[in-house]
Amino acid sequence: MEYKAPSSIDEAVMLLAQANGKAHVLAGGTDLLVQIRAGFTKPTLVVDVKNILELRTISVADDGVCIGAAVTGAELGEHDAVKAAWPGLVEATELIGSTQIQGRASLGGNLCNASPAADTVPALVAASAICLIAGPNGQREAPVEQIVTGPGQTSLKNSEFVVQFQLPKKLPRSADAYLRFIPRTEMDIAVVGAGVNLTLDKKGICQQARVALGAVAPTVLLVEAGAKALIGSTLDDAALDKLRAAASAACNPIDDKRGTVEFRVDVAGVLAKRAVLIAKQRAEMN
Amino acid sequence: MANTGIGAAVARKEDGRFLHGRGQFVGDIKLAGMLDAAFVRSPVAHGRIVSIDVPEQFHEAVFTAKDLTGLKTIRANSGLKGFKSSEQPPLASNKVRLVGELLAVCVGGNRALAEDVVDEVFANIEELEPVTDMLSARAPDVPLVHEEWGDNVFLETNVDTGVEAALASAPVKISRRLRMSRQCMAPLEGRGVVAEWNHRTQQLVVHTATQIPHIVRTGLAECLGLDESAVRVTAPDVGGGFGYKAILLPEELVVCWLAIHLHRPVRWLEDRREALTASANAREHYYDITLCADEEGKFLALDAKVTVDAGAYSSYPFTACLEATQVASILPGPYNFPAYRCQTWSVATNKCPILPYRGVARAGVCYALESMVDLVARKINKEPHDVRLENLITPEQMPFDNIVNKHFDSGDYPECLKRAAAAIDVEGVRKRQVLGEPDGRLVGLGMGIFNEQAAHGTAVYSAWGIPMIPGYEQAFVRFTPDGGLEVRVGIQCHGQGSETTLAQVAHEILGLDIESIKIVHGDTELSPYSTGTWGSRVMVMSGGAVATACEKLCERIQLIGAHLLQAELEDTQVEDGYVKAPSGQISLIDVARTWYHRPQDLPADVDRQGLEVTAGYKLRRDDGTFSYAAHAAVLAVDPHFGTVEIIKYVVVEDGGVLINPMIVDGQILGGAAQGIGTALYEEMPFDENGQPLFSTLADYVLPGATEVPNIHIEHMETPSPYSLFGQKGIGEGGAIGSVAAVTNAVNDALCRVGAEVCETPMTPRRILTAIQDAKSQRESVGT
Repeated sequence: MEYKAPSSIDEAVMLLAQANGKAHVLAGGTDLLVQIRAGFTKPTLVVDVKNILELRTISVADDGVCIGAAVTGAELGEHDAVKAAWPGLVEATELIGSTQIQGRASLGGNLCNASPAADTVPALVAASAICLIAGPNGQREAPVEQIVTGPGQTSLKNSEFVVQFQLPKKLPRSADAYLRFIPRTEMDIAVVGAGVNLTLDKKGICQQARVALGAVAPTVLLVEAGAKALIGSTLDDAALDKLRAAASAACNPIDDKRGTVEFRVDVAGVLAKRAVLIAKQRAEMN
Repeated sequence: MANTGIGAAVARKEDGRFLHGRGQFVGDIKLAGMLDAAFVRSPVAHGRIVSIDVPEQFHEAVFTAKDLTGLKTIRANSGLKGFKSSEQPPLASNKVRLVGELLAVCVGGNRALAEDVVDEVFANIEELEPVTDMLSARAPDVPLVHEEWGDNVFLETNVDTGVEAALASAPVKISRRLRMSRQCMAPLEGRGVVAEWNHRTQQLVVHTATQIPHIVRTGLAECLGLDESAVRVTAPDVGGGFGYKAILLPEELVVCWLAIHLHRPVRWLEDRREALTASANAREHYYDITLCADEEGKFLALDAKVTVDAGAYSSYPFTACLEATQVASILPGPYNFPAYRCQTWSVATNKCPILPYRGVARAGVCYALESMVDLVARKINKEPHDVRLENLITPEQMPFDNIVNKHFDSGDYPECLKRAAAAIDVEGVRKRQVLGEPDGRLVGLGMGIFNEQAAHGTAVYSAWGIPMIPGYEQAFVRFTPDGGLEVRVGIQCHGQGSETTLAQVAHEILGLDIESIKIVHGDTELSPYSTGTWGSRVMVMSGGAVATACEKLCERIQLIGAHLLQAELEDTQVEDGYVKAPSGQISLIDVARTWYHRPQDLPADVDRQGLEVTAGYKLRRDDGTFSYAAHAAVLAVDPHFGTVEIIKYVVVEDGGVLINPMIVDGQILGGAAQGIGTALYEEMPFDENGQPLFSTLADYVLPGATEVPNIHIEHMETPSPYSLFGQKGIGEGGAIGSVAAVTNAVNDALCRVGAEVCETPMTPRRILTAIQDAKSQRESVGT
């Protein structure tokens, strides 16, 4: 196995394009190194992207926030502007692993590992994040929800990798939230996750909403019926009940030892509702 | 000098090496030429072995049952009438009876190479229908785990003082079916063994992670056909045991056989997957139980049918019936029952043998009984702790012989309960429940009180069918030429802090600096024979033996000191490291130097036994000591997620005279964490084919730092009249009362919505299902 740590996007693309056999992109390595050690994957080349500036930078501009794909959870958690603008995304990131893992794990890795239970993905989807993707044919953009196509599968083509996440301009009276369910209180993998992003008007009527669920289907779900239930309402009990039902209805989970189908479906609805209430409270203060 | 004797919260002497990463565990032992072993394990729960195919090129690295010449099967027989014996072959030869049973062993230069060979071995097994549920295992026409038995019952027992009258007429009669799930013990360090043949001493030297080195030696010698003197077992630092390391493992036997026959050291280190899926199983009780009381809550009778899923084999030495037979004798708990009946079945299934686990039988018993007490209280609309007070044995009744002739030594059970009720603030919680929580969660309060028989001896164990358990321990002490004290004990310290507490006991008698007292343990070559560390017996029995040996040594030191001081013996005393007489004093170090280096200063008729003593100690009664405690918990249940947050947790414990209160607190805290795991998180499920479903700690949920609350501990110290210093064994109590306190609190919360969970662990899924069921029931009643 060869290890390379290029310092530019072009160099990384070239290394990946020229790779003979299986090549993996390494950011924090909190998933990849475990998989290599366990023998699940045997790459001939590992390209460490942590030395590439664009992937390690957080930039805040008038039209939104850009987060490098290899920025660590700890860096994001200490970034006041991102925390203020996207508290839901930051709390989702900070739920990954332990303090030690936080020093390594990245948004890009969490997305491209393509686990249905990734915590940051519902939050990114709810936030309408766009991925900037580098590859042999230059750079392209794609919404986060188009990246993962199934457990362990992505739509990224050979030699492509995610450079950064672009979050839209934060509108007044809008906010996001993320909640997950685990059988423990810390250090676990989501049995169900729910990310919500809302925009209210001055009267408290919901203008925009996005609801995303994790771990209840092969990929993270964008629940449009859930958003519909909220938009135009004051997020009253009736709207929340509709959202809960829509979220539960959207679920297509597996039945496994971590949670039965019924349990996941039920909890997904409750989680979505509670995430909305948190986002609402935050939006009202913005 | 600060007090470092009995009652002092001395920092643990052994912690220095652990905190510096210098502990020496089995995994740290590396011997020249050592081979690693890995096992081929059965993929099916029940089947007949047709063949085990080994590719030609691996013949020298793979061993199956037919290769293990001269190795006997493991037999652990109960002394009770009707017990059916199981024979556990170290490697399966004809049948496999559980997933993970050993089929073959492979050796290599390291574990990875050995595992590569494992992958090349193919076991051709004709599958048989397995028995996986203990209740259906007793039905007619089910498959048999051991065909020759004719059924699947290791042992059936029956205690009956006559309950029919109470059952027929009791004003309050509550029945339930309660389940405590199968669990896995999870010490930080798994099992592990390194064995080598020493040609010079003609000995098999076995380094193994065990709590019971001497018993392992006996078992190994018997199964390997060696003289006991040809086997030396050492337990180095051991990273937790909890009972899992109080057995003789088939893996130990196989590794020892290999070391003898390959003339090379051989090592096996268990990985977590092996522990979880094939070995460390415990508990799994089912109670069909009825509690009868009058309108005031005074108990009239207790009637129970108890089944324990003992798995496929009877483990050495404590047998497959350890749990069920104890259940029958301890189910009445700390209460006064006028009538009692208990039938038990130790049932064989195609699952891992259940092994002793901290709070053997007691955790299940306390859960079952205390659940029933709460139900009676709810029925008659009384505060559960008032019902408990109504029925607890009182201090005036002590010592007390209960309905099954358990002899409770001392204590004030009602006071313990009252203090717990005050500390948890029962009234405050009740008010809070009436007001309701702003976040909609349901608050519950639960208590569990129990007494813990500890350091019990021969009579008690033989009544449970377990032979070979003495009610005594010995210790060897040697005063060294430099004035230090070597204390050799047969017990094994695997986290209890005994290297400190036993030094405190020796200090109490001799007044020597505890830094100069060295506790030597865990080596059959260096210590008196002992059954080891289990059953909360070390501080009472081994502590008694150390004190007795030190007292004898003290007499000899005093005699020499008196001579050197030219004083009459009766005018001298040993104090603070000196022999003191009116004429002056002489340090114990000077006495030691005189004995070893200046014999010319000793009288001609000096006691020739010198400054080495082996002495034994036996409790005044075989019943042992009864520590007791009340655990109380307040928690909040999220009715939509079924999750539980423990808000407040209190323990009031009476362990008699405490040798080291800090270490006692540690025992209580660790035990309570395990009980919280039993109550809320830990479960090892099997599917209908007998496949264990959890194989990693991601699935097998252990409580972590964020699940275990701050635990407030209060102590009472009622001395035991039967132990040397009044101390009582407390090693297991934390894991006993905690299960009941937490499960009762969950059901106290759930009763507000008419729901009840009758099974541990009370997971979010079970809690949500109970809430849903209650809701459906209300709706169906409503329509």
